[in-house]
Formats: sequence, C-alpha cells, structure tokens
Amino acid sequence: MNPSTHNVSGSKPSGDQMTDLVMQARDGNRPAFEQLIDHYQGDIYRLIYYRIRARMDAEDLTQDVFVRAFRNITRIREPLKFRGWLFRIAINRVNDYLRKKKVRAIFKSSDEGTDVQPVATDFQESPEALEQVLKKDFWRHVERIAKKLSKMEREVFMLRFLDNLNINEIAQILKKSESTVKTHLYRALAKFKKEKGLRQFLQEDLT
Amino acid sequence: MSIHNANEPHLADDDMLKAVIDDTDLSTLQQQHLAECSRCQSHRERLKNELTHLGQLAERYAPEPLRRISVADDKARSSLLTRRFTVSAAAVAAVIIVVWATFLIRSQQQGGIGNLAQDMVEAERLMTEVNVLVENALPQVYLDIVGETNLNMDEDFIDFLIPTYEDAPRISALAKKGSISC
Repeated sequence: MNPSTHNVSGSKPSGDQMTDLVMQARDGNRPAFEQLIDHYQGDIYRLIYYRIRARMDAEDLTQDVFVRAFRNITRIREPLKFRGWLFRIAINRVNDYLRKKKVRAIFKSSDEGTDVQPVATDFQESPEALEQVLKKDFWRHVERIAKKLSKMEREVFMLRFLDNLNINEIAQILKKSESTVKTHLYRALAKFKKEKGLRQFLQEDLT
Repeated sequence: MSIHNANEPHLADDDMLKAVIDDTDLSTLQQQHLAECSRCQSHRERLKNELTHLGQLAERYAPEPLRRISVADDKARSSLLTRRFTVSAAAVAAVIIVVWATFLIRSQQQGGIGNLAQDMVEAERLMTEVNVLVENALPQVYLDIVGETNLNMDEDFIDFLIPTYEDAPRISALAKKGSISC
C-alpha cells in the first residue's frame, strides 16, 4: 500500500469531517489523529523531500512532525487552521534540519545527505534509466533556481508552486501578510521567467 | 496598464506576473484587457501551465515514502529518547569528572614542585646570609664604628683574639714573656 495515499475510511474526508477529526484528535482520540496522518502525510513528506532531497531523512522528519503535532494538538483552538499549523511545524523542522546539516558539513568534506542514485548512460534501452536522467535533470534545474532566490522568495515560491498552497495559507504558515507574500512571489516569479533552462525543460516535457 | 505598442496595448511583464499570481491586483482596465486579449491570455496560460507542471513534476520525481507514519510508538520513542538522554548525560558527567580529576592532580603536582622550588630559594638565601656572617660576623653598626668594612684579619690574629683551648696556655705564656706583638 502506498503510505501517501492510504486512508482508513477509503475516501477523502470532507472539510467538515476534517474539522471533526481535528476536534476529536484534540480530545485525545488517537484513531482520529491517525486518520489525519493518513490524509496529510503525503503532503508533509513531499514538502520535506522537496527541501532536503533525502528520502530516509524526509521520512524521519515526517514522523517527527506528526509526533510533535500529536503532542501539541491541544493547543489548536481553530480546527480549520490545522493544515497550516501542520505545515508550519514541517517548515520549522526542515529549517532545523538544514541548520544542523550546515553545522555537520563543517566537519565533513562531502555532502552525504542527498539521494545520489547511479544513472545509467545507455538510457535509450531502459525507460527507467531515462526517467532517472530526467529526474536528476529536473532537480538540478530546481536547485539552480532555488539558489537564485532569496530565502523568503524560495519559501513562498515552493509553497505556492510545489506544495500547491494558496496565498492565504502561505501567509498563515509564514506568519506574514498576504501582500508581503505576493511581493515575494512576484520577485520569485520574475526570476523564474528568466530561468530559461528550467522553462525549456518544462515546455519540452509538456509537449 | 503598461503599453508596449501604441496600437497594441498588452500587459507588461510585471502585470503579467500579477495576472498569474492574483489578477485582482490588476487595475479594472487591465482586467478588462486580459478578459478580451487572446494574446495576453495565452501568455498567462503558458506561464501558469509551466508553473503547474513544475508542481506536477516535483510530485512525480519525489520518491514515495517506504514506511507508514504512526504515532503509536510515540511512548516507546520518547522512552528511547529518555534512555539516550540518560546515557548521554552519564557520558558527559564521566568526561567532566575525568577532566576535573586530571586538572586537580596536575595542579597539585604543580603546587608541590612550586613549594619545593620556593624552599630551595629560601634555603639558598639563608645559606648566603650564613656565609656573609661567617665571612664577617660583626653587624653593620660595629663595622661603621670600626671604620673598616673589609678587615683582613689573618688566622693568627683571630687565634690571638679568640684562642682555642689547646693554644690558651701557650699564648698566655708568650704574652707573659712579651714575645707576641700585635
């Protein structure tokens, strides 16, 4: 079973059901919280993976995010804000991880964290190998544009276009006003427009 | 609205970004233009499609998680963390004790050597004073009265002044004969 799509009830809970689940989880109902995990773990895992690019560490951090959420869920007063609150925990955990990684990097000569998978050169004979090459190329382009963005531009850009959050949610997660979020998005998008390599990659993949 | 061409007023690059992110940030005129201009619409759609595809590819190229998340083992995990913390704390305490003991022993050793050196210096100073007294036992006050600080008194003269027990009868006899002269 794919953990990111697992759901106990077998269907996606509606908005009201989500609110009920959050309220039940807040009252200490563990099965209700497990359902929330089923619903959000894919989003949280991907949010983390996009930023750290290491599968096992992303899994560990995802687990940690939900453990922290479970311990602190009683603090939530508005169940509707659960999603934003969960994403904020994840963003904070990612920032902690990256900070620690920076410190560890001082004592290490090479980066051992990111997933480095062997890429076959004869990909014409293997579709999987071709997919690996495309995957590697894609993340290389993403990394290149990420380096050109400021920290805030990068965060709002990823939350908006990789994590598919709306501006209101981003503002809530980052604790900024919507106009501030938009300003950073405009700047990030202007830089994206100039990033011909990534845009060409996307256009070629679209056609 | 920014105008590129007098005959063909299209949205400028900055306005196109607004159109992609939130078209309500455009002025009413710009919104009207966008609603009517197929060129601007196609420009916006192309950019939007690229960004949507960026998100889709990111999801496609992210590996699936292999294990399912659960908070069921939260207690076990926290007890494991507590155990780890206890072990770490014990290790840190042991290191502190070893460092402290080493420092203490070393400082004591250094203190012993320091005392010994000080004793030796004092002994040397005492011996110097003794030697000075051996050379010239008269205090400075008497030396000032005598008027000579370096009296070269030979052994015979000293023996005359302070005769030994064996010499005493001989010297007193000589004195009686008047054969000793100062």
